[in-house]
Amino acid sequence: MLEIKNLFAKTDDKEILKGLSLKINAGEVHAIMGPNGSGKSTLSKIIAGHPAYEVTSGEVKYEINFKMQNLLELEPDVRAKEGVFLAFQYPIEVPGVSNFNFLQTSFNAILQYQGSEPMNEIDFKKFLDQKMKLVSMKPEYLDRAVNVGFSGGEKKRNEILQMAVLNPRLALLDETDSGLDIDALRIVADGVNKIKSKDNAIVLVTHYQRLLDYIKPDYVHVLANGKIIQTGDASLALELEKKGYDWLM
Amino acid sequence: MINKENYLQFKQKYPLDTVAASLARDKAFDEFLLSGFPSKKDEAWKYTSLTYLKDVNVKINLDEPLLNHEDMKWISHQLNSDFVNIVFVNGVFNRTLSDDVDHFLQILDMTAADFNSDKMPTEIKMIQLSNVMAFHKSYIEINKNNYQKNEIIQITYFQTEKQSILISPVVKIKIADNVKAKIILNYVSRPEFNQNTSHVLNSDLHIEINKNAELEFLQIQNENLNDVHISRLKFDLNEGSKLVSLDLSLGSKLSRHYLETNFNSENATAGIYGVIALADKQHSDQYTFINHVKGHNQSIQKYKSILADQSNSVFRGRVRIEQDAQKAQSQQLNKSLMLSPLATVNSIPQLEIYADDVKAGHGSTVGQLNKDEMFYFLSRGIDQITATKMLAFGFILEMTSVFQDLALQNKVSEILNEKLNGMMK
Repeated sequence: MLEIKNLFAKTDDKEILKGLSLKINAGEVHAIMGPNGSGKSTLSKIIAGHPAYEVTSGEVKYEINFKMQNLLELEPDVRAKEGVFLAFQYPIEVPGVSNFNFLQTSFNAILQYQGSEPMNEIDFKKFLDQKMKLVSMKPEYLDRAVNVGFSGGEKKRNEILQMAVLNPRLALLDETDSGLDIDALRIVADGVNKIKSKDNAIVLVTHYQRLLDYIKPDYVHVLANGKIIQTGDASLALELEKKGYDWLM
Repeated sequence: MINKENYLQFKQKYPLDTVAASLARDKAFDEFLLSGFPSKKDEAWKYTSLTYLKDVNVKINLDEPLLNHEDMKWISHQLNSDFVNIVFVNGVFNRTLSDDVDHFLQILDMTAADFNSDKMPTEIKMIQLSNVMAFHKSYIEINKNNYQKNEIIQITYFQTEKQSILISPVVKIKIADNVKAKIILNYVSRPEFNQNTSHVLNSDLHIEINKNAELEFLQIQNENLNDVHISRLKFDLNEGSKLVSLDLSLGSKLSRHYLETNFNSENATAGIYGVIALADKQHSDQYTFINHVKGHNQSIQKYKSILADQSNSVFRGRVRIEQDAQKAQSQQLNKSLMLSPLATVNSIPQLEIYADDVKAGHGSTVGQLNKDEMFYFLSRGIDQITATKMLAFGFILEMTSVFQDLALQNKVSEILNEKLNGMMK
């Protein structure tokens, strides 16, 4: 579904990714771990199309209509419409736009891109109702401005709600576990597990093995100094937890 | 063209009752001609010159308008049966298209007192011309006997003339003691006219809010992009009265709004709000004058601009607190959202404070769309244009709830949504 080859990227003239390669298939869960500043967040932002990052060489191919296509050529909103989803490490507060309006506009933009009729407010409310239960969110959060006045945990849950609504093929969760207490972590992880299927792939960018107790990865990658230096199964994360990263470098 | 010859024709067609009034009108016109249209040399018009109007081919309407079927259809389509409609067409009150409003409205002749023969301050220079060129003065009184609670009076200035004309409506409204009134004032012109038609509207509206009366007032300035809009809106606030005014400056290629609020007595409050949303090469100039003549009053001013393309907005917020006006409170805020690198804004706060025990503040900000917010929207599949509209609407969202009345709130949302949709294509 996603294939990254020898990717180099920079921001503000600082090279961050230095020859990263990675292949992800549908139905897989990948965890990307690594020390601070290794480029984990950069990778997910580049896949989503963040304008602050510039790819200097290498390629990112993504399967669209059964063909691997150059993802980097697509505008960020088109990537989202094609099923790429980034759960933000720091979800953005948007005063003046209600959460409901944001979700409905986003959902209908994707529906229409796929050639379907947009869903009306009443039907969308019903649809949303079920999705909110997945992340134990109360309806009053829909009338509030997007993420404004939300606690850290509420913001992360709101990201997972968006993911549940948009049903992406490739979900990148950028440190979704950071700042969550155990209960919130469990809610978020349960939500992700319910969305997980054989047709989609999930990439967890995380510092801690803790999240992987709840969402079991098929692959664990260690990203250091802009490259993937080690790939293993779930046991690699446990080993990293014990030994740190030094032994790999 | 505005010259003596045209004036004489107009005068012949619209003679005044008394010699005194007639002489006063002549004098006012001569004075206007002598001093000329406002230009950038006048401090109050530094960013908006009207000198080109001197030569513009403007027909001074000598006949009351005849409406064709299309005009009638267009007008009736615009009227809202939930409101009490008062209709003016090309500056003239239209009894046929209005609801039954005889219990509110009187059409009066201009009197000598309407033509201010003393030298007019330059900021309201155009009023001299509107009063000279007015066909009549409409006087609306809203009191306990003729006004039903929660009724919304909608006054609409329609412009249907196919030729360029100068339109000069002069209206005075009196809100009697203890009445809580709601008024909408619309300015619209037939949208399908070609580029060669440019209406020049030069309007004067004076609203007196009497003891313990309240007014929710919505002004929607939404003419064609060929038109010119010049208006004065003057509020006089008396003891214990309360005003909430929202002025939407959306239409015309050039608009100049002069909004004056006088606190003539104590314990009154005024919320003076404005939204300016412009695209193309639209230019809008807002001159507000909050005049605390007496103390123990409170004014809040908030103006927000959204500027796309090569549009241009000016906000001059003048606040005067007289020596007598102790314990006056005045807040002013002007915020602009620039959607294009070619748009410009000028924001000029002007505080004149002569009392020592007052609270007065002002602020001004200019910004662009937040890049992180934009990326967040894009990353959720929302395209840039839709995201811009939503974020821009978010910027002015608070203006949709300045009124308590729900119908007014909905009207504000609807109009602003429509404008933002049209602005961003």
